[in-house]
Amino acid sequence: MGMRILVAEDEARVAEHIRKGLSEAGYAVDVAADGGEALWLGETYPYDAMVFDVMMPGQDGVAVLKQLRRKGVRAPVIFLTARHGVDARVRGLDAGADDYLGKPFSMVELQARLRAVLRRQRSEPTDHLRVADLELDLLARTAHRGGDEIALTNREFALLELLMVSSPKPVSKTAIIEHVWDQHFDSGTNVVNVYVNYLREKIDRAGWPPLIHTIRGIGYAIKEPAP
Amino acid sequence: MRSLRWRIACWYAVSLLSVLGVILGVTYVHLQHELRVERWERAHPGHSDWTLHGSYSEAEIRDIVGELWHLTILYAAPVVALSLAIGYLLATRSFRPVADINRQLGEIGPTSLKRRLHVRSVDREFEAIEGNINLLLARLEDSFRQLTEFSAQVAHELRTPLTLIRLQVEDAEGKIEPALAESLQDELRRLSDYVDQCLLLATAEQGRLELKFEELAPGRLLIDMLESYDLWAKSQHRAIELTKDDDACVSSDPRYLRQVLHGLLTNAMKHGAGPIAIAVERTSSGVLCRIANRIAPNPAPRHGIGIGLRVARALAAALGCGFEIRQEPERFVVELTWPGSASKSLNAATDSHAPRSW
Repeated sequence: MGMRILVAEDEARVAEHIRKGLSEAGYAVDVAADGGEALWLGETYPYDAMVFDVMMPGQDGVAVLKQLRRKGVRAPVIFLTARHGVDARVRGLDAGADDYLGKPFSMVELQARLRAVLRRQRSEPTDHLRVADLELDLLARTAHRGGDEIALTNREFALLELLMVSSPKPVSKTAIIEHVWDQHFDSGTNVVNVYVNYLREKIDRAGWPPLIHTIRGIGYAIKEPAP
Repeated sequence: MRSLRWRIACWYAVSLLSVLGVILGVTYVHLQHELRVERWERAHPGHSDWTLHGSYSEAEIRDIVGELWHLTILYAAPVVALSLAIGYLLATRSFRPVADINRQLGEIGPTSLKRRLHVRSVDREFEAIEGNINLLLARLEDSFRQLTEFSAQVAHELRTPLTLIRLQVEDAEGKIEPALAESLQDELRRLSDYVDQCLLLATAEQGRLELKFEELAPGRLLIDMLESYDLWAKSQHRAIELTKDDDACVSSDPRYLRQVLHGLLTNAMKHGAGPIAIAVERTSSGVLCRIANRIAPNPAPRHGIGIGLRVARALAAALGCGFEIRQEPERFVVELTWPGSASKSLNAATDSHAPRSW
């Protein structure tokens, strides 16, 4: 992809995992250990996107972002934070962040969010998603496969959207619950499996090559059938 | 229960009557003695140079002291009643600051520990009590704040290692047994949920929730939520039945009310058995939402209520709705009440009052 990402995270081991995960996804990654270093790197080099931990020693992520925005840096920023409250979220978005990810997060989720903010940055149309012959219209909220319309409930639509945004990468059950269900829906159930099965019955009908795959130990993925 | 005011009134009356009794006894004995030894002298009405000497007869003495007894008995009842009334009045007036302290203490709850007593009394004794209680409240507030801050800090601190574990498990997914990876992810998710719940509880108990109230129908909120719980219930061969009155509307924050309902439904699913009956109805005093289920035959031993119900209770308190848990012989019932709430025209329900099976 050739894109350069700045990651600012004071917890070295978390930073290393993010660096590794994003590098494997094809990004060039620089890591800053505190707010001061992030500010210096952000002002000095042109990054395509930035991932900031909110709570960092010295200057926190919000303060760094405000200063970068004042200096004309327009790269999209995703905040990582242990504070999930609405007030903390609003404060981050008001400061100019493009997205907000609560800890503990999944690398797949971070990559999906990063792809989304980069797509928005490049003004790519995001109202249609396509995987093989499956098409999702995000505005009309309709799904078609091979020209046939598929009726989906709101939750099935949200689940399919998440899988297609992340495609071909798998999405963990945790990420599915966090995105598709309420924050406090108890996740100790097999409801995700049941919903994926419902979706499978509608998307992968007899005679059509299956698109939804169960990746054991990881989650679910939607991807084009192997040629 | 005995009333201290009445006891003080009785003591006052007994003290007064004792004093009066002693005075009366002394008067009686002294009068009797004086009348017996008294010798009177007076001039003869016909001969001014004659002097007559005499004394009271026993009959006259009995007549005079008898009159004294008669008067005493006559006035005894009104004096007792009057002294009791005066005693009660004085006790009531003296205890007014105590009633004031009681009322103010009763109004102090977990979310209002900042309040302090203000007693309108100049009595030194009550000033001292007021000062000591206020010191106690300050210590209580400080302890409670430290406890909730500690919970919040622990929850925050836990999120970084949880992130690290999650990333490490994801990283190792190709190298470890898929079943083990899945199990680890599930446990991590549960742990993250507990951390979230602890933080929410701490925030609610500190009174720091940012609430946005609006008119809403709890029945409609439930309809939206029950889709997933229905699947969960079916997987356990159970049923969820909702009876709702769409005219029953309340003022609440939908985000947090959903969390309260999630907590109650999860509790019913995890710790209950049999069908779950949910009712949203209007009552003479407001709106009621009741979630009832059978108690599981062999429930796991629990000390007090679990964290899910604690969070639900704290959120309900923050939302200003009543929260009551009832454990009947075979049923577990939780009721949310909104006193004073009434019907609104939010609705156009076609299935009002109709039981709905999920």
